[in-house]
Amino acid sequence: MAGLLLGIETSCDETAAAVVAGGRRILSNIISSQVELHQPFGGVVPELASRKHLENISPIVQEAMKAAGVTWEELDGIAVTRGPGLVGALLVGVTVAKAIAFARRLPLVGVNHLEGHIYSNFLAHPWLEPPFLALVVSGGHTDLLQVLDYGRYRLLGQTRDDAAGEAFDKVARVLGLGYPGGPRIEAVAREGNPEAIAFPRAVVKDAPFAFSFSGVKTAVLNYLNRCRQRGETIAVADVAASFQAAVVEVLVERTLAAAAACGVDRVAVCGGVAANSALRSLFQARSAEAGIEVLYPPPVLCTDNAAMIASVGYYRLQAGHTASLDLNAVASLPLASWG
Amino acid sequence: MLILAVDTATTVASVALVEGERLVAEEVLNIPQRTHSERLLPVMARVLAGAGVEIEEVDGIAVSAGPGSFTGLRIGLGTGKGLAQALDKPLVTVPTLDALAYNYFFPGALVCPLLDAKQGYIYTALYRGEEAGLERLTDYLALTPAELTGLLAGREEPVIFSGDAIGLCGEAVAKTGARAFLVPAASRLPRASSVAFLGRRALEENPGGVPLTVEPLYVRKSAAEINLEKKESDSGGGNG
Ligand SMILES: [Zn+2]
Repeated sequence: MAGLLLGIETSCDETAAAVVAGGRRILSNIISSQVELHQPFGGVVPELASRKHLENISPIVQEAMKAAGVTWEELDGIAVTRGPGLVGALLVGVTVAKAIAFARRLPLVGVNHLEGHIYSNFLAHPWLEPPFLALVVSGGHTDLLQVLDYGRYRLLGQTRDDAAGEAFDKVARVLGLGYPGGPRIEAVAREGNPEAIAFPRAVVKDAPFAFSFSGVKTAVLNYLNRCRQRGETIAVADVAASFQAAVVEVLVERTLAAAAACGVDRVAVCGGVAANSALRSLFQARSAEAGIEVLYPPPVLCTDNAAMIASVGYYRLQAGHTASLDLNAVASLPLASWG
Repeated sequence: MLILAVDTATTVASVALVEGERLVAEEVLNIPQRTHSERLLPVMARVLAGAGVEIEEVDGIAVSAGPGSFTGLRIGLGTGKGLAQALDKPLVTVPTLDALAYNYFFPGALVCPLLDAKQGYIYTALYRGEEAGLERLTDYLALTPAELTGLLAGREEPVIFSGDAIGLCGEAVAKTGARAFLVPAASRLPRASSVAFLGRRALEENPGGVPLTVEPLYVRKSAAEINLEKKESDSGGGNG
C-alpha cells in the first residue's frame, strides 16, 4: 500500500492536519497557531484552546486534504494524537478523527504526542533508522530516551519539575518579555552576555540523565529581586542570555553523556526548544569533539504538527495497532513501547 | 429524508435516526460514569445497525448545539463535523433547549426546559405554545434558580417544566402553584429524536446546512475570559 495517512493533532494550542505517505514523505502539513488568542492571558487557556480547535478543525483538515491532492478513497488510515496534552483540546482531534474514520470505514490509530516529536526526525531525514538517542525538549517535555526500534523505547531520564520550555516561558514572564517565552528570550539573549551571571546547572542525585529546571528559574527570580532591592537597573539581555546558557548547557552535556554511556553515535533532537539557535550551536560545538552526529528537524517540524503524528500512525498501522471507536483522550499518557 | 441526530449536551448520550415524520431508531444512554468520547460512536454504530442503515445513506446530520456541558457539546459537534465532512452531507445545529421543549407543545401553555449549568446556575429559555408551534419568548439564559423565579413572576399561563435541573428550581416551581406541570422523569432527558425532527425542519429551510466552522451555543464565557474582563474593567473603569 502507498500508506497514505491523514494526521490530526490538537494537544495544545496548534490545530494541525497533514497527509504523509509511507510514514516519511509529507504531502501536506497545515498548522494553525492560537498564539495570539492566548497572548493576553500569558499562557494557554485550556477552555479557549478547546473552543478554537473545534472552530478551526474542519477547514484545517480540508486544507490538508486539498494541498495533498488526496481524496478520502485514497487514504489508508487516520492517525490522531490521544495524549499527553490538554484533555479538552485532545478530545476535539480525537472526536473528529473517530467520526471521519467511522464515516469512511478507515482504520484509526491513536498516537502518543511525544512519540510524534521523535518521528519528526524520520520526516526530516528520510535515511534515518533506529537505533539512536532522542532528546524531546518542549514546553511540556524534557525527555531523554533511546529509540531501539520503531515503537521500542527506553527512557533514560526526564525532568523532575518544569520542562525546559516551561522554564523559558516563566522567566520570559518575569522579565516582562511576554508569551511565548522561548523565541522572546532567544531574541533578547542575542544582545546579552551569556557569562554575565552564573545561574546554577542542577544535577539530579542518583539520576545522571534526569533534568531539573525549577532551580534555575528560582535563581533568576532571586537575582531580579536582589537587583530591585538594591535599586540597580536590570540588564535584561544579560539575564536572558545567562539563563538560556544555563539551560542549554545542561541539555547538551547530559544528552552527550547519555549517548556516550549507551554507546550511541547519533542523537535526534526534537520538540519546540529544538528550534533554539543557542541549543543548536552548543550541540554543534560539543558533538564534533565527542564524535556524535546530532540531527534536528526544520523549525516547522519542531513545533506541534500533524505530519509527525501521521508518521507514527503509519508504523503503528503496519504493526497492526489500530484503535476502536471508544478511543479516548488521555491527559498524561506515558510513552509505551509497542514494537 | 434520513436524518442522523446526536445529543451529548448533558450526561445523556443519545443518537436517533428519523425519516420524515417517522422515528426509525433511537438510543438514550444515561451513564454519567463513562465519557461521551467513549460512548457516542458505539451508540451510533448500534442505532445504524439496528435500523439496517448504512452511514452513507444518511441525508443530513443534526447536532444538539447547547447550552450544556462545554466538553459534551464539543464531542457532539466534533462528531457531527467529522461525519458531515467525510460524507459530504449537510450539518445543522439545534439549540438543546428547543429540543427539550419540542415534545410539549400545547397552545397557550408555557414550556420551561431547565438544564443544570453547574456552580449554582441553570440554563433555560421560556417558550409559549402557539397555533403554528412553540414560540421562544426569551434568549437562551444562564440563570440562578432565584432569577428563574423572577423570570416566571407575573405569568398567568400554565407552565410545563422539563430537564435535569427541575430539582434545583424547587422555589420557582412552587411559586407557579397549581399552574405547574412536571414532565415525568424519564421524559426529562434530552433525546436525539427531538434534535432530528427540528434538524430536519432547519434543513428544509437551509438545504446546505451550516458552515463547518459553526460553534456550540456556549451561552457562558470561559472563566479565564470573565476574569480578564473583570481585571480590565477594574483597572480601566475609572477612565471611562
Ligand atoms: Zn509538542
